[in-house]
Amino acid sequence: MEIKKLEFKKQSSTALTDQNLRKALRNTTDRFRASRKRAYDELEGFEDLRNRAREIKKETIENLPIYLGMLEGNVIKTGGKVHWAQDGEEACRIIVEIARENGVRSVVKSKSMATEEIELNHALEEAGIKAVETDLGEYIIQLAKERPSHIIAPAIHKSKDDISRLFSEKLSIPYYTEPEQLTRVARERLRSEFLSADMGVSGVNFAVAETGTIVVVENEGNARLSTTVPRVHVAVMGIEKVIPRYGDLSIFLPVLVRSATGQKISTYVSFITGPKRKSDMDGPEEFHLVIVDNGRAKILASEETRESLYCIRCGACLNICPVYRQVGGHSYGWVYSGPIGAIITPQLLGAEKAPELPFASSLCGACKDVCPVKIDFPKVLLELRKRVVEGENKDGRGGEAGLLERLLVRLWRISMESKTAYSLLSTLSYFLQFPWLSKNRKLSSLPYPFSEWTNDRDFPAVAKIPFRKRWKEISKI
Amino acid sequence: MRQQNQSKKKVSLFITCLVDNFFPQVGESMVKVLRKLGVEVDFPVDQTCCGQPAFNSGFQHDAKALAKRFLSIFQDDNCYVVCPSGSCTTMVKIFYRELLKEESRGLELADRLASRTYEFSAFLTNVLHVEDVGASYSGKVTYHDSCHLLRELRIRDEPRKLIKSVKGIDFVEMNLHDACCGFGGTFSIMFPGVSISMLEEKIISIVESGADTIVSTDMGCLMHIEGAMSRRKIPVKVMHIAELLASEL
Amino acid sequence: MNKSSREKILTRIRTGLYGSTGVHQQKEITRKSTGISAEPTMEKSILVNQFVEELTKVSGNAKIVESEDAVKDFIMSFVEERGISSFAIWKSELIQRLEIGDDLQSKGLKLAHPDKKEEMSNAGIGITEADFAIADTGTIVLIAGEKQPRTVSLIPPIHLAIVKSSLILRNINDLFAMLVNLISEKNSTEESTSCLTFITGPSRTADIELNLTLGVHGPRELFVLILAQ
Repeated sequence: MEIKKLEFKKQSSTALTDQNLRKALRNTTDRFRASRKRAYDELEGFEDLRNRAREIKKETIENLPIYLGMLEGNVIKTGGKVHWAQDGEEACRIIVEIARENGVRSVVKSKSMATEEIELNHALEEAGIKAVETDLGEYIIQLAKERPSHIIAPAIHKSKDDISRLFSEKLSIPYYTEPEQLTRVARERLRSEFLSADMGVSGVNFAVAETGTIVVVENEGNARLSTTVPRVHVAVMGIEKVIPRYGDLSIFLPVLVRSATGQKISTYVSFITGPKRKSDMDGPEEFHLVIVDNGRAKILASEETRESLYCIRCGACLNICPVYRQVGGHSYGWVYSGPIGAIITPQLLGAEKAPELPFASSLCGACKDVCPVKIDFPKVLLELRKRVVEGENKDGRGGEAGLLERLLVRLWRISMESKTAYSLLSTLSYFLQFPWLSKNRKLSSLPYPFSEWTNDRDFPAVAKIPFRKRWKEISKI
Repeated sequence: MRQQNQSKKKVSLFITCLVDNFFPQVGESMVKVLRKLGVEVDFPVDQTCCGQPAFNSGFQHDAKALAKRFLSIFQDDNCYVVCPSGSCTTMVKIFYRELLKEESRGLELADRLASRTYEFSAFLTNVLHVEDVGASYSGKVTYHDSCHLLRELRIRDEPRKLIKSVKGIDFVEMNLHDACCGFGGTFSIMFPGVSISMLEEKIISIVESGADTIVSTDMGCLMHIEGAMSRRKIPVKVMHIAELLASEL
Repeated sequence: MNKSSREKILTRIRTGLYGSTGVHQQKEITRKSTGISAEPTMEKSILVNQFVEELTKVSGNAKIVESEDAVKDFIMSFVEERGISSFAIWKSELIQRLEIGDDLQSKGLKLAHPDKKEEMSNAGIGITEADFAIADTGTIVLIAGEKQPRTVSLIPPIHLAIVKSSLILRNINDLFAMLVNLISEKNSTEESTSCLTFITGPSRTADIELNLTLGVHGPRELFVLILAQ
């Protein structure tokens, strides 16, 4: 699948004009933030848990081949099958193949960012296999033929009215207005899908190397149904989802859930180890684990940005991010949004596909403060900005920065490297500003690119006597 | 720091390019406050910019050149370096080490500089151990946390203590005090729409607090906030903390 | 399975992490993990009360019963009150000993078999016995097995679980301390469970404007009978 160059600036500009979206974003992010804060404050030692979670992630990533090998071995031991996919296309091919071998006509899916990333639904449909999203939010998104706009709450950009209209049109039902009614309709429709599906596809929140167990965290029960009722269960995970030990879950589960929704624990957590045992009366007969690289291994090569792979997809950084709060998930152009999208998308797709994303942050650092594994977002963003400007090579040429920008920076640097040039620039600016200076000594309509500032904001006037000149007087006192 | 505690403390002013060229009165206020507290103040005249704009925009080669220049200017280990900006202090205190981590000499200088560099309000409270500088100001004041000061330098209470100790002040905390104002350097020009939406939320928060004066530690944030307030004719006064602390001193 | 993709991915990871030589001195992987501590047990009644409180907070129903007979009485009158005509049930030792399934059948309720999807989807209640519970989150822990099918707690609209008060643990750390031992004994054998599940309250969603709605896919109601011991 060919991904076009992502255009954050263009898409975010459109998002900013959507008042309903902005209202929804404020409401959602406020509530998620408040819940997370409550959950954080009430748990003694949360800070220690975060530190420990980060340590374990670091340990895992630095020894990834060993833990992935261990995971593979243990999945096989318990009767499961393991598949490795270098990219999205290969992952889809593998899953379609599993479906064909089993004569699968329909697939139920529970929420998974990895399958969004590889565009599995598209691949299944092309192969003539029906794929139904079963998480309520994902179901809404699938009916609307859209992409999730939030890692945890995929349909938050849709109002209740939007959903009422969507359901009534697509499902040929009356215009229900109550969330209870809408939820009941989804339950009924999806229940029959669960019972008739031959294959269930799930994501993986954690995969435990020492036991071959995959852990799925959810509130609705659709992941339990998807992984229990159909005859075949396929779980899809990125290479970074492995954790070393079963006991590590006592750290990761509370940290994930409290950061994501502010719950102490989610309604359901399933720990799945292989297919059903022979004597079991239910559960899938086949269990397949698809381990996907899709650009991740490449991230490991840079020590500066390696920690991007520590992410456990809780969505806390989205909820705290002032940029996400204004523009929503779709502005980020791909499946991952908010701060994590800004750092992971350019690395997975290549900087040339998403040159704007590393800059789509004011570097305020709020994300770093809430991240359960303490990813240093500003540091990673700065490194990625450098790559955009300098290119991947160390010689500092060949990046995405335009000629004009390079020229301006060069001129600026020359003036900053000498006191005389600096003073000259300052004096020059003082005189140059006069044509634009308004009565209240503000600059209110500067030419491009400064107009990007002055269209909505005044800019201060350059002082007649800068501090360094005043110092001559002051120093004598 | 080789300096003795008993002897007179010496400070090299690190005046940011914003303050130097647009808000020189902030630098003067700093000098006034520091001198009042018995500090010997110097201003290394060769200083220009610390390189942060280039660093934040991805031009690390250019930023590195300016970082080295800065290090050579602020070499005197007997002086504290004090700056009227949490953001520029962060650049020198934290990001220089990042930028120069592959150069042993540069890294050593950056480490030494980092250990004696302070943002103005942190210097007053944490080095001089002063909360009440003796200033007076009558008004209802709220405080905006600058992102770098708060989250990179972890300074939250220090400026608040200083503000609350000013005679005649009615301090009020605003709702979104620690939310970014949307400045972010070139971010405000690259993504003006997003930047302004962030700023508008900030301004609503300021107005709702009922304050007549907004104080912060960074002129970047303040010129951004003031830029929109003056355009919208919102009569809230914008003040750098140094200006506030120099009031009626 | 595509062997070459496996090798290519692992090589890419090794090269990324350890440079082109791909050599890495792996330190021994310790089995000892995390912050798990087997801390002193608490007064059971405190744990029971905490469990009830936490489960109630997440819209679950908890009831403390003083005897095994009372468990049975509760279930019998519950199905009558609700007019339930079909049920699914685990065959744990306690449930079998109390002959709950037999009595429900003799009352005229139809037994749904977990290997028959249609029967299960018509069952009005699923009855299980929790293997553990966690006081500080109000969680019950179910371990699937031959006599403990997964769908009983999942498909019917009402889930009723019995838990012995002695099996209520303090928190998730205590539970994992226990599970880690249990799992290392049974790991990768036919004995090990294919599925262990934490259940904390009835199924819920907040996907429509963050409105909390119960019973989206799993049971709408959860009852936990705590058998005081």
